[in-house]
Amino acid sequence: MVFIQQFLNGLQLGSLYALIALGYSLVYGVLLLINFAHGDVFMLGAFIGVFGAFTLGLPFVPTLLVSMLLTGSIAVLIERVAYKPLRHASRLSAVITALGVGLILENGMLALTGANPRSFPRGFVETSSYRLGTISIGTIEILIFALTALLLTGLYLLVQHTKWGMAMRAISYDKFALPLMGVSPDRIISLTFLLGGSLAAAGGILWGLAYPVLNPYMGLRVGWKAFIAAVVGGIGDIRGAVVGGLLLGFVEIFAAHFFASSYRDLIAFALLLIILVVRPTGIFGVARRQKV
Amino acid sequence: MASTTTQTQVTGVRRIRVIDRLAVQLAETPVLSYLLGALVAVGLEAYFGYYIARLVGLRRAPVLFGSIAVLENFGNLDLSGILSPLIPASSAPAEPWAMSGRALINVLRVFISDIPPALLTLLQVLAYDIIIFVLPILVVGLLARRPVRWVVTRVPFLLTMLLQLVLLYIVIRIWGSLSDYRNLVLMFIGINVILTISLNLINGYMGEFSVGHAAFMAVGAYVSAVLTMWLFTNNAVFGEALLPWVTSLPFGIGNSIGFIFALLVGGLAAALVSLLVAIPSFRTRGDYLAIVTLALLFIVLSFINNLNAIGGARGLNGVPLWSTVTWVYVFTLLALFTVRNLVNSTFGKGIIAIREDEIAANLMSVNTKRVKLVAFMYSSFLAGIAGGLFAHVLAYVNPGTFGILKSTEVLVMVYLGGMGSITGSVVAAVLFTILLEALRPLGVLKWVIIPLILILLMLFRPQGLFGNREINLNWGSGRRAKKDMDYEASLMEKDASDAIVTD
Repeated sequence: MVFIQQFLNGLQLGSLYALIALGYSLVYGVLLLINFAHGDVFMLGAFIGVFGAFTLGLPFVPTLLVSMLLTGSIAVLIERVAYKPLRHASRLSAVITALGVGLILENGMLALTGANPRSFPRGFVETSSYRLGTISIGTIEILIFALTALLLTGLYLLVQHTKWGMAMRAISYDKFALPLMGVSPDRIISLTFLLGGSLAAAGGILWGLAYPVLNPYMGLRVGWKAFIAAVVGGIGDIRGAVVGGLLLGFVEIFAAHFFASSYRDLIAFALLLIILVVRPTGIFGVARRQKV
Repeated sequence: MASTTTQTQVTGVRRIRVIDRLAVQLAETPVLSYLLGALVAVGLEAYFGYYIARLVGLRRAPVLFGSIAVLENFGNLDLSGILSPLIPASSAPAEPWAMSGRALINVLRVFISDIPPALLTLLQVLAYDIIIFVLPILVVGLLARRPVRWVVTRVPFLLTMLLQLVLLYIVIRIWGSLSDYRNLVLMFIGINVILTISLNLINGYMGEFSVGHAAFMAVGAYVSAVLTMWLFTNNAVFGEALLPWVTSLPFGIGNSIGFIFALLVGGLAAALVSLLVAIPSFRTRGDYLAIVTLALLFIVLSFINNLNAIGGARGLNGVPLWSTVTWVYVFTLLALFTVRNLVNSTFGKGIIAIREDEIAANLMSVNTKRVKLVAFMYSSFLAGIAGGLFAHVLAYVNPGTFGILKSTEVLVMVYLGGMGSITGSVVAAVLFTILLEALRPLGVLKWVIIPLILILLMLFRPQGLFGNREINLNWGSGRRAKKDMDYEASLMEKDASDAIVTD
């Protein structure tokens, strides 16, 4: 019984990690860029959600849509301003720029809003819980599972069964051939950032519902963890991001359950390190052949 | 008509040549004579700094070349009202948009009203800096050039180098003697130099991407702090010293022995921990190795957080204040010297070969595993030493200090200076540390401005300030001095021949 309860907790945390990890994975697949600012885009999504709920007074679904749209647009803007000029420079300078953008987002938000933690208004989402024997499951948990499943299915259909998705897969396969086929890489890259940003925004709002202490640095830890999850799953692969996120969520929750909760990072990361040593390109990753 | 154009052209060439020659002279002037100038400058400040500061209208001599004094004018800037009405913490205010607009206007008003006093302070500190530092260094440097060169050509290089290092030390000590804060900044500079060159070994010369350098620093800091506290000092955490006789050795050498021992053990511990990265690096490369380093950083921090015997998340208090400017100086020099020799050696060529192409390097009989192992371990050893020095500066270490932000700081310094440039690393570490301190009055905005500078740097100069080149300074080797003399003589000859032509 306790096991099932913890399983649900792990599923909740893992779903949130998966939503954020997807953003890393999508961008990496298309640009081979580790977008270190993505964790802070996630924070931005949560804060825009708070803005929508309080200042615009919107209910849950419109808030979610507004936040996803705004955050996705900001992610596209970041790409246009900061990453695009570096597309032909060394890969590391783009990574360093991403680190810088992340720092600007989190510290800029701290400077502009002050240090008080944020949360969503009371009654924003109806909170009740259903009991099945000793297991209780809350509406927020159900919401998180359902919404994550919906978004992931949508993303999967988009990437696998539309022309846009085909172009996204094509650009990660051969970025030089894509323009020759008459597809604009800029548009595809913008679409990728829009998707990644809006998934992160959804993750941010759901995170704010599940763990209602939002501060400008919330993206730092969560973002880096989700990134590691994406890598363990095999970065650049949608299934990998989901599996890695869920795996990290389960490992953390069960480590906290069987040992002390302060050991969860230690155990989770040690395990991930072992996975990476055994399978250097992650669970679903494919090794790139290198020629001399 | 024709003759006037040639005339202006000739004067144009002349002017360029004057500037050129000044630049050449400045670059070719031996470091030794600049150091003499710096000695005069800091001496001047020690005796007349206060009066000159009063003369230009400052209340006291500026601490860090006036950078803090200028930015303190903006210290009352509080932006937090701008977005907090729109993203409220508890309940939405009545008129959020109006409130936020008013806050924005208010911030702008405060900012504009801060500009004139800041400009005034800027002029004042510029005047102070020019009188105290720039003029003496340039004038004495250029005046002493010829005699210094005469001496340098006749003295063994080793002796010149030693003289220069001693002079630099004296200059640093006199500069630092004016305030404790300056000494603190000097120690941070040294520590950051060590960190930067050690990370440059991995990220710059070997071409890997390590984002977990703070982990090794943390290991070194904790191990050495625990050792000095446990073995050599009485404190609340570990009780009585285990080996009190060491510190009671005569002439105060006991502390030194204890400190060096603790630092070295800290460095070795960090080197051992680095095996956790070095061994995966045999198979894992690029972004995946970056994750390994990142995961290691989280593991180390989490481990320390869970060790309640050494304070856990609360941190370790009561570390003896054994780091001094002298110690930091000595270790910085050692680090620079060893890394320079390492990358210039045949072994170092192997490190660079791995950056260029690992498979090809392997084919060319570079033992890539061994090279990687040594590079990672030595880099981490240095980071551990830097951590140990750091722990003994503030008397307090906690795991939060060594987070991702610290790693990012070191990364920034490496990329600012240029990957694969030792002198670049030194310049970047010095500039960045001073910048970090100078921006302190701005509070959280500091961490908006620094990344902004970084992004602009990456957009306009992605290879860093110096790329992979070294700054060519004249450290006074005899051969170099001879070459300079010949060059200057040839310039003069050329001038003479030009003069004949124009006449």
